Amino acid sequence: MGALVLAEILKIVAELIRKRPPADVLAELRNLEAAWPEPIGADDLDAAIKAGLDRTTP
Amino acid sequence: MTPSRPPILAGLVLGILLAACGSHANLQRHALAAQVLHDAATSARAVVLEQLEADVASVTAGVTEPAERARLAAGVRARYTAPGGPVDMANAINRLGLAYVRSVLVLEQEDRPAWAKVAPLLRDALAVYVALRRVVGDRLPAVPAVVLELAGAVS
Repeated sequence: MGALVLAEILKIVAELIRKRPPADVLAELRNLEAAWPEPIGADDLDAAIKAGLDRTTP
Repeated sequence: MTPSRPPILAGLVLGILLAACGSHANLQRHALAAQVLHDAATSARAVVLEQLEADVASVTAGVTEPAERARLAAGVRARYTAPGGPVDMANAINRLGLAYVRSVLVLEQEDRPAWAKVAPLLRDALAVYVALRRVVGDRLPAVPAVVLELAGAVS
Protein backbone atom coordinates (compact mmCIF):
# COMPACT_ATOMS: atom_id res chain seq x y z
CA MET A 1 0.00 0.00 0.00
CA GLY A 2 2.78 2.39 1.03
CA ALA A 3 4.72 1.49 -2.12
CA LEU A 4 1.73 2.30 -4.30
CA VAL A 5 1.31 5.69 -2.72
CA LEU A 6 5.01 6.38 -3.12
CA ALA A 7 4.86 5.28 -6.76
CA GLU A 8 2.02 7.73 -7.43
CA ILE A 9 3.95 10.54 -5.78
CA LEU A 10 7.02 9.72 -7.84
CA LYS A 11 4.98 9.64 -11.02
CA ILE A 12 3.77 13.16 -10.28
CA VAL A 13 7.34 14.28 -9.56
CA ALA A 14 8.56 12.67 -12.78
CA GLU A 15 5.84 14.43 -14.76
CA LEU A 16 6.83 17.74 -13.24
CA ILE A 17 10.47 17.11 -14.14
CA ARG A 18 9.46 16.12 -17.67
CA LYS A 19 7.56 19.36 -18.14
CA ARG A 20 10.42 21.46 -16.83
CA PRO A 21 13.47 20.84 -18.98
CA PRO A 22 16.92 21.63 -17.63
CA ALA A 23 17.15 25.38 -17.29
CA ASP A 24 20.73 25.48 -18.47
CA VAL A 25 19.84 23.86 -21.81
CA LEU A 26 17.09 26.37 -22.45
CA ALA A 27 19.31 29.25 -21.38
CA GLU A 28 21.98 28.00 -23.76
CA LEU A 29 19.48 27.92 -26.63
CA ARG A 30 18.23 31.42 -25.86
CA ASN A 31 21.81 32.69 -25.65
CA LEU A 32 22.54 31.16 -29.04
CA GLU A 33 19.51 32.85 -30.52
CA ALA A 34 20.49 36.22 -29.01
CA ALA A 35 24.11 35.92 -30.14
CA TRP A 36 23.31 34.70 -33.64
CA PRO A 37 25.64 36.29 -36.21
CA GLU A 38 24.31 38.79 -38.71
CA PRO A 39 24.03 37.65 -42.33
CA ILE A 40 26.63 39.01 -44.71
CA GLY A 41 25.44 42.39 -45.91
CA ALA A 42 26.60 44.99 -48.42
CA ASP A 43 28.69 46.79 -45.80
CA ASP A 44 30.56 43.58 -44.99
CA LEU A 45 31.27 43.02 -48.67
CA ASP A 46 32.47 46.60 -49.11
CA ALA A 47 34.80 46.26 -46.13
CA ALA A 48 36.27 42.95 -47.32
CA ILE A 49 36.82 44.27 -50.84
CA LYS A 50 38.45 47.45 -49.53
CA ALA A 51 40.72 45.37 -47.31
CA GLY A 52 41.67 43.24 -50.31
CA LEU A 53 42.41 46.31 -52.42
CA ASP A 54 44.41 47.88 -49.58
CA ARG A 55 46.63 44.81 -49.47
CA THR A 56 47.69 45.46 -53.07
CA THR A 57 47.62 49.23 -53.19
CA PRO A 58 50.44 50.21 -55.53
CA MET B 1 12.18 -15.67 -1.96
CA THR B 2 10.65 -12.20 -1.90
CA PRO B 3 12.99 -9.23 -2.36
CA SER B 4 13.04 -6.89 0.56
CA ARG B 5 11.12 -3.66 0.28
CA PRO B 6 14.03 -1.13 0.19
CA PRO B 7 15.57 -2.57 -3.04
CA ILE B 8 12.15 -2.59 -4.72
CA LEU B 9 11.52 1.01 -3.75
CA ALA B 10 15.02 2.04 -4.82
CA GLY B 11 14.48 0.40 -8.19
CA LEU B 12 11.13 2.10 -8.56
CA VAL B 13 12.57 5.51 -7.75
CA LEU B 14 15.51 5.02 -10.09
CA GLY B 15 13.30 3.81 -12.94
CA ILE B 16 10.88 6.70 -12.72
CA LEU B 17 13.63 9.30 -12.47
CA LEU B 18 15.52 7.77 -15.40
CA ALA B 19 12.36 7.87 -17.49
CA ALA B 20 11.84 11.52 -16.61
CA CYS B 21 15.42 12.46 -17.45
CA GLY B 22 15.36 10.46 -20.67
CA SER B 23 12.54 12.59 -22.01
CA HIS B 24 14.95 15.55 -22.13
CA ALA B 25 17.57 13.70 -24.14
CA ASN B 26 16.10 14.91 -27.41
CA LEU B 27 16.21 18.50 -26.28
CA GLN B 28 19.85 18.14 -25.30
CA ARG B 29 20.73 16.60 -28.67
CA HIS B 30 18.99 19.45 -30.47
CA ALA B 31 20.79 21.96 -28.25
CA LEU B 32 24.07 20.42 -29.38
CA ALA B 33 22.98 20.67 -33.02
CA ALA B 34 21.97 24.30 -32.42
CA GLN B 35 25.46 25.03 -31.09
CA VAL B 36 27.01 23.38 -34.14
CA LEU B 37 24.81 25.47 -36.46
CA HIS B 38 25.72 28.65 -34.56
CA ASP B 39 29.41 27.82 -35.00
CA ALA B 40 28.78 26.94 -38.65
CA ALA B 41 27.03 30.26 -39.33
CA THR B 42 29.81 32.19 -37.56
CA SER B 43 32.62 30.34 -39.35
CA ALA B 44 30.91 30.51 -42.74
CA ARG B 45 30.50 34.26 -42.46
CA ALA B 46 34.12 34.81 -41.42
CA VAL B 47 35.64 32.42 -43.95
CA VAL B 48 33.64 33.77 -46.91
CA LEU B 49 34.60 37.37 -46.11
CA GLU B 50 38.27 36.41 -45.60
CA GLN B 51 38.24 34.48 -48.87
CA LEU B 52 36.64 37.43 -50.67
CA GLU B 53 39.35 39.75 -49.35
CA ALA B 54 42.06 37.30 -50.40
CA ASP B 55 40.59 36.86 -53.88
CA VAL B 56 40.34 40.61 -54.41
CA ALA B 57 43.95 40.98 -53.33
CA SER B 58 44.95 38.14 -55.61
CA VAL B 59 43.30 39.49 -58.78
CA THR B 60 44.43 43.06 -58.21
CA ALA B 61 48.03 42.24 -57.32
CA GLY B 62 50.35 44.04 -59.72
CA VAL B 63 47.51 46.07 -61.29
CA THR B 64 48.13 49.77 -60.84
CA GLU B 65 45.38 51.42 -62.86
CA PRO B 66 42.55 52.32 -60.41
CA ALA B 67 39.70 51.75 -62.86
CA GLU B 68 41.02 48.33 -63.76
CA ARG B 69 41.47 47.45 -60.10
CA ALA B 70 37.88 48.50 -59.41
CA ARG B 71 36.64 46.47 -62.39
CA LEU B 72 38.48 43.36 -61.22
CA ALA B 73 37.22 43.77 -57.66
CA ALA B 74 33.66 44.19 -58.94
CA GLY B 75 34.02 40.96 -60.87
CA VAL B 76 35.04 39.09 -57.74
CA ARG B 77 32.16 40.63 -55.83
CA ALA B 78 29.70 39.59 -58.52
CA ARG B 79 31.01 36.02 -58.38
CA TYR B 80 30.65 35.89 -54.60
CA THR B 81 27.16 37.40 -54.52
CA ALA B 82 25.71 35.40 -57.41
CA PRO B 83 22.75 33.14 -56.56
CA GLY B 84 24.18 29.95 -55.12
CA GLY B 85 27.54 31.64 -54.57
CA PRO B 86 29.52 31.72 -51.32
CA VAL B 87 27.64 34.70 -49.83
CA ASP B 88 24.31 33.13 -50.70
CA MET B 89 25.39 29.87 -49.06
CA ALA B 90 26.75 31.53 -45.91
CA ASN B 91 23.54 33.53 -45.52
CA ALA B 92 21.41 30.42 -46.11
CA ILE B 93 23.27 28.60 -43.32
CA ASN B 94 22.66 31.62 -41.12
CA ARG B 95 18.94 31.84 -41.93
CA LEU B 96 18.24 28.10 -41.67
CA GLY B 97 20.28 27.75 -38.48
CA LEU B 98 18.46 30.57 -36.74
CA ALA B 99 15.10 29.20 -37.87
CA TYR B 100 16.13 25.82 -36.45
CA VAL B 101 17.03 27.26 -33.04
CA ARG B 102 13.76 29.19 -32.88
CA SER B 103 11.79 26.10 -33.88
CA VAL B 104 13.47 24.03 -31.15
CA LEU B 105 12.58 26.70 -28.58
CA VAL B 106 8.95 26.67 -29.74
CA LEU B 107 8.73 22.87 -29.83
CA GLU B 108 10.23 22.56 -26.39
CA GLN B 109 7.17 24.28 -24.94
CA GLU B 110 4.90 21.52 -26.20
CA ASP B 111 3.95 18.65 -23.92
CA ARG B 112 5.09 16.04 -26.41
CA PRO B 113 7.39 17.78 -28.88
CA ALA B 114 7.32 16.40 -32.41
CA TRP B 115 11.05 16.76 -32.98
CA ALA B 116 10.76 15.51 -36.54
CA LYS B 117 9.28 18.92 -37.43
CA VAL B 118 12.70 20.57 -37.14
CA ALA B 119 14.47 17.89 -39.17
CA PRO B 120 14.19 19.65 -42.55
CA LEU B 121 15.75 22.85 -41.19
CA LEU B 122 18.67 20.99 -39.64
CA ARG B 123 19.16 18.82 -42.70
CA ASP B 124 19.00 21.77 -45.13
CA ALA B 125 21.38 23.90 -43.08
CA LEU B 126 23.89 21.05 -42.90
CA ALA B 127 23.55 20.34 -46.62
CA VAL B 128 24.39 23.96 -47.50
CA TYR B 129 27.25 23.94 -45.01
CA VAL B 130 28.72 20.79 -46.53
CA ALA B 131 28.38 22.37 -50.00
CA LEU B 132 30.15 25.52 -48.81
CA ARG B 133 32.95 23.40 -47.34
CA ARG B 134 33.51 22.00 -50.82
CA VAL B 135 34.01 25.58 -52.05
CA VAL B 136 36.25 26.94 -49.29
CA GLY B 137 37.83 23.68 -48.16
CA ASP B 138 38.65 22.58 -44.65
CA ARG B 139 38.89 26.14 -43.37
CA LEU B 140 35.40 25.33 -42.15
CA PRO B 141 35.29 22.70 -39.41
CA ALA B 142 33.60 19.38 -40.15
CA VAL B 143 30.15 18.66 -38.75
CA PRO B 144 30.31 16.25 -35.79
CA ALA B 145 29.03 12.79 -36.67
CA VAL B 146 26.50 12.88 -33.84
CA VAL B 147 24.79 15.92 -35.40
CA LEU B 148 24.80 14.37 -38.87
CA GLU B 149 23.20 11.30 -37.31
CA LEU B 150 20.60 13.46 -35.60
CA ALA B 151 19.72 15.11 -38.90
CA GLY B 152 19.17 11.67 -40.37
CA ALA B 153 17.64 10.11 -37.31
CA VAL B 154 14.86 12.65 -36.95
CA SER B 155 13.86 12.63 -40.59
